[in-house]
Amino acid sequence: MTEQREDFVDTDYAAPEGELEQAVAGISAEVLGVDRVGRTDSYYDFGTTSLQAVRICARIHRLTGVQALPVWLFDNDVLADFVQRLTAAGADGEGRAAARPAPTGNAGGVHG
Amino acid sequence: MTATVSARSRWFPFGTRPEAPVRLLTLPHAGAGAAVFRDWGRGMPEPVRVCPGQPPGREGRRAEPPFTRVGPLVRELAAEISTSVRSPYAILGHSTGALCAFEVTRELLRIGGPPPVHLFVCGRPAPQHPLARSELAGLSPPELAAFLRRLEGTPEAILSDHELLRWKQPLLVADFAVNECYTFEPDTPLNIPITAVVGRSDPGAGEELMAAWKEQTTGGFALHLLDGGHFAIFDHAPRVHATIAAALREQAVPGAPAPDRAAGGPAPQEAGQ
Repeated sequence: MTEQREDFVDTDYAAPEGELEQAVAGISAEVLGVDRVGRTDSYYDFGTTSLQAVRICARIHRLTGVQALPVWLFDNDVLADFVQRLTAAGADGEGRAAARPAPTGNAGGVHG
Repeated sequence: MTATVSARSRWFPFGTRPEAPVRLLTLPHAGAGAAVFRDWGRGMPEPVRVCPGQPPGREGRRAEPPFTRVGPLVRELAAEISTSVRSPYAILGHSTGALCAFEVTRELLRIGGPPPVHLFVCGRPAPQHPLARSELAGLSPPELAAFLRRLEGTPEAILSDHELLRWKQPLLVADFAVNECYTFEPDTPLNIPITAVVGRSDPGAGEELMAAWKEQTTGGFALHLLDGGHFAIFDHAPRVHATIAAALREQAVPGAPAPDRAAGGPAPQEAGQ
């Protein structure tokens, strides 16, 4: 049951730029249950819960090998800023997992 | 665009649903915000539309400092409700949110704003019972995790994320202060029905303490017990929805059109106030 971005955000859609933004936007839209997420959209606009943030980060790691922490998402809640934070972390060698498969960032929980 | 989009505000980031026959405002537990109730509200049957409330200090309002006392919080919220929420509406508060729901109702009556038609209070003892202080400020992340784990309902993935817990800690401290640094002032009971809902194994809100909410109303009282702990209303959302919808169906404004969201139907004629 996918909802429309425009039901949550009033500003115009700005397409993600570059591979990582596109990957993160795609994963985010899927987890949040919306048709698309723009690069200037805030995760808070869509009502992202802690559990969803954990899921998004786990999928980013699984798909791209880039480490993503939920707290980075909540502190850099505009998608482009979040991706910038991921990139900065990678550049500092702050946990880039290269081509290794991600550990089970399983966000299984009671609810959410 | 639907009329729901035009009624967004910082207190109600998902709108105030002016087109709905009856609205349910929600006020969250400590550390939480509108997001968790938007999730919870999915599947709420007609004619009720859920309008999650967002206190400052979290999510889209995290640049604002959170309130640490219920008085200032409900003064700001009551002003907002009286100017931007159409009647009829009800309020559901969970834990700290339940105290806020009760006190904002009193405040709305004080300022002559339209009060809710029903109060749903979940997982919090009746306000006339003082609560012990949980001193969260000095806890380390593992201690904070242990505290939250005892309440049951926070996923382990979050409890094991100490960065996230550390990040949320100041908000939890503030919200717990709202809930616990509170002196009940006796007043006339509300002439508004109250429904109390709680999990049978909620460590902070036993059946007797929930039943005591009855003393705060002359408008009718019901107590519903669910299986589970402090977050039982999230584990049993459909059942809680049914209880709410049944309670509010009579209050819904007859003849108000339900939104035709499936087809992205015609925009309702009326804009929100």
